[in-house]
Amino acid sequence: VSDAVDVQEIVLENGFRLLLVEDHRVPRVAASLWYRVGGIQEAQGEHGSTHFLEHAIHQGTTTVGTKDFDAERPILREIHETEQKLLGVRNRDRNRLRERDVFYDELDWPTTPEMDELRKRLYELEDQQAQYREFWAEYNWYRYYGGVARHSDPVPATTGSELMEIDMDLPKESIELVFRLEADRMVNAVLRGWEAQRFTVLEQMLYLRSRFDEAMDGVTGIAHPVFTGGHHFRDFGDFNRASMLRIYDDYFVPNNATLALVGDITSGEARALAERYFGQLPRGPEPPHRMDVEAEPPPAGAVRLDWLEPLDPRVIVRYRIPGVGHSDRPVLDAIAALLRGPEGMLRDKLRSLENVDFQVSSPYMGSSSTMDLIARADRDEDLPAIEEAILELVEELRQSRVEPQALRRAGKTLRLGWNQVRSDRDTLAHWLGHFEVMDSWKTLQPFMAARESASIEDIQRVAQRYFVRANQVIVTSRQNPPDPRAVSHRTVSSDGLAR
Amino acid sequence: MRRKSAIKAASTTWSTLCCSISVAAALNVSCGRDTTPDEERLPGRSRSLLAHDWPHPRDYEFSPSQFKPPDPDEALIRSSSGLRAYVLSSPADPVVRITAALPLGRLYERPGEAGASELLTQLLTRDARDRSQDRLSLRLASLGTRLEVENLLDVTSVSLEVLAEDWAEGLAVMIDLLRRTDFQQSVASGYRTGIGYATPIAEIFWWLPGGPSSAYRPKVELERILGGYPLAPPDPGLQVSIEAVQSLAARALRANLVVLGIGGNVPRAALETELNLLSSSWEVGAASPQIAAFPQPMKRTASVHTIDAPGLQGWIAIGHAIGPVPESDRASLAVLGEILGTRLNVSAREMRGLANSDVFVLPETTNGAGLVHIQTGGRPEAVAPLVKFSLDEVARMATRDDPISEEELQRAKAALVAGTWQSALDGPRRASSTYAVETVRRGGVDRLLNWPVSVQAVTDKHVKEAALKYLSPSEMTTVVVGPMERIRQARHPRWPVDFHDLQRSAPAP
Repeated sequence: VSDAVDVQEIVLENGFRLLLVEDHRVPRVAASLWYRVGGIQEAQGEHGSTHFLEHAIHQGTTTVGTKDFDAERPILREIHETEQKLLGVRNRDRNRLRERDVFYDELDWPTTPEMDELRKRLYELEDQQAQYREFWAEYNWYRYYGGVARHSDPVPATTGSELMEIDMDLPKESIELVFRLEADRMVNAVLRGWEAQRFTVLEQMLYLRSRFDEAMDGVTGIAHPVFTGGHHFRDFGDFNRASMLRIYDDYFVPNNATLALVGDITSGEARALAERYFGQLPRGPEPPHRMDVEAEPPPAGAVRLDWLEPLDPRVIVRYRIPGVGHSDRPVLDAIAALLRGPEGMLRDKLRSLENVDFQVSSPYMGSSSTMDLIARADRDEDLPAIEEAILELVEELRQSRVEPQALRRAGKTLRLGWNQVRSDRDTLAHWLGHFEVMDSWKTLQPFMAARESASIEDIQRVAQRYFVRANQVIVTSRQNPPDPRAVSHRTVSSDGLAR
Repeated sequence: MRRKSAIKAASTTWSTLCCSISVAAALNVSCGRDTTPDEERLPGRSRSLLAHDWPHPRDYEFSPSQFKPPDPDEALIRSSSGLRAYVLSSPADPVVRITAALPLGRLYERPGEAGASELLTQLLTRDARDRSQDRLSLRLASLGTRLEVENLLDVTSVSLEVLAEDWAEGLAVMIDLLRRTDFQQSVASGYRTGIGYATPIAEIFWWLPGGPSSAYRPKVELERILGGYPLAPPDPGLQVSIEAVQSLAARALRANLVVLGIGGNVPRAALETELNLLSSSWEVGAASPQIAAFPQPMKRTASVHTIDAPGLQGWIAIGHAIGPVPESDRASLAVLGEILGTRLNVSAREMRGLANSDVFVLPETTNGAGLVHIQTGGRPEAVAPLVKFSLDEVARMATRDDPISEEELQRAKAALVAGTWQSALDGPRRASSTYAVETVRRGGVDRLLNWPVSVQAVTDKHVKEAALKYLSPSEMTTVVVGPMERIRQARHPRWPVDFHDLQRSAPAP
């Protein structure tokens, strides 16, 4: 069986891109729509607003999710005017509102009575608008026609540092719905229930990311949403519809979107549907030129963060790694595969320690990200030994002490992984679109081949380049930290940028 | 002016789809014309709205799905030892999935065997400190794969995926692990201890074996309160004897009781030969093991229980236990679950922004008995309103005079059939696994294949009857795990509900 995937690319006159893999084994089609937009283009003070926008554009359009859009128009106007007043008041009172406290709490946003009144008015207006709403409309229509989302959250979408994906898998007979709903969403989205959605997004963040994670990213020099997918807890009080709509108008244009389809559909059928719906959308101006500014300066030396609030005992050794598109990136996948699993080098190194679990994370991003070697223990006392062992292991990689059999096993794991991707409709649609926003869909297959064929020499070279103290962050958390009342601390040892 | 649908887009096939579009355009008869004025811009927007005549989603009439599950009778083979396997060959698939479904779970345990089913699964699927060259973990790593294990109350499945060229070794690994007898006391002693069990509130959704659904702490506490073991998982540190494990294994891991599902690029004839070889002399069990009933009656009290966990958000489970559900009610209850799940999400998330999700969960046992419950959670000020509004939705469902709309009914049915059911049978890999599990649970796949018919027969009246029969909001127990001092003090600015009021109306025992 060949490892290749036959991808057809269709680009409409307005720049809308369609990637198609025909797979007629099952009469269903996986659709994965990608926008090149994310934390990368957010203004300071609005980190997380693109993710919030993802939720906001899932509240219907001028024709879907409304019982009477004509009745909504004046309410939308008043909401806009009231929010403009609120922004004006906030600017006018900025010296009373600015963030002076060091220990800022996202649930204690500075405010004034006048602002409270305006916010209350916004709540009232949204309640009025709610009379005309059909809640959760688009998602419910997908379900009505047999849609299943790969992403199981109530909003079938994902936002990252440079991407927004909306995914849906439908019976082939109803795949037209994706074209109908998503083309409409691209241009006619209407903000509804915005205030409620703001808290929904906050809930997601509180669940997915903790202050510990945020602090860890901060000391790594990747706190900017370019790296983390875009959230600063402190910014949730500053979100506003106006700036969100600017992102929507700038980036949700056909020439900034890619729809990946995998399944029981021909190119002729897909093209006809794309022309019928997305083809009606006017090409937009090219998105603003801020999407190639990504890197922050690396930490000025090895960094250590010992978290002093009680958490489960763990050691995280982290290195910044290049993004997808860089020639070293596939080798880092091979390294991660070498380290992972019950027969991985990490487990092998720590075999003498009982009750230690491991993870190795290396996310896929177009910009640089991190490889995290994470060990969780059930006793604080084991942490020093774990840390020492992980650092020894890193040194072994740098010294090329890798067993050939271990590398063969890692290569097999990666080969199986790619074959699982390419033989699963939804996953393949996801990866095609993901590579298109990170780099190019054309580099997906070469990337997968390169990681399978990484040699011991490649691994040593890459380890020596990235696994250096100047690029290293060590983080620990404990069940019983020395002084839980103290703030967590960071130490930087300036031993130079040994490149 | 609200647009009216004049014509429904009739798209029975792809060719007629394109045809119907052109006919509609030629006649200038709108499928649902948008009244958006030309060049209208909404406040705050720099782009104009697009005026279009696309049909409203409700106006589509898509042709019925052509989806057909693979023929299970054709797929089923039986080895000389009595081992059954659903083999779905698919030459285009580069991967093979092998699933073993086992009659194993907490409901199969006899007195004195509490905890033995989960421990047995661990002993089968993990190496202790074995460093031999034929250890399971090394064999799996050499195939580049790992095991996926699902432990339910009355069925356990173990699956692996391998490259097509490795199917024979993958099958050998699976059969070998099912025939293991080298259970080590050292592993048994470490059962339900260590990471995760030592700090069970540190990570609320994952970490414990079994994944998010079994590890969700409020749900586990609810199970402990309402029924204890076996509804609830074993307590941390529970000691189980090797003898109990061996006794259970002797009843469950028998050639005629295990069912395999094998899907992907695998040559059927060669596989049959291999299966006969690998399963030869595998002992046969006397009969299908008996499933124990839950202790009856399980408790039902409208009480509120709290567990202080200052470092967390407020995580909630609300529910009560139900007994076995007759087959005639199963589809109605499933449709009810879909509708209630949607309503909960709209109420808690879409309307009020109280939570990221508000989920309704039905029991996953074969006879339908178990816990009906809601899982949700949020910031301290959201906890009390979440409990209140979630219970309000259950109450709304469980009253005769609050109707279910036709759209809700049809959507729920589609989600169950064209969504969940098709997904379970989507391609040889998933379908073979599903057939194997279903056969262990119900002795065959007839019920599975007839499920769409059962679901389509459900009416709004059936759903209401199921709600009245199986949902009792006034008897639902609430468990909150979170920063209780903050939760008690907090008031949501828009949806102020006093947590003390909830406790007063449903006091903790």
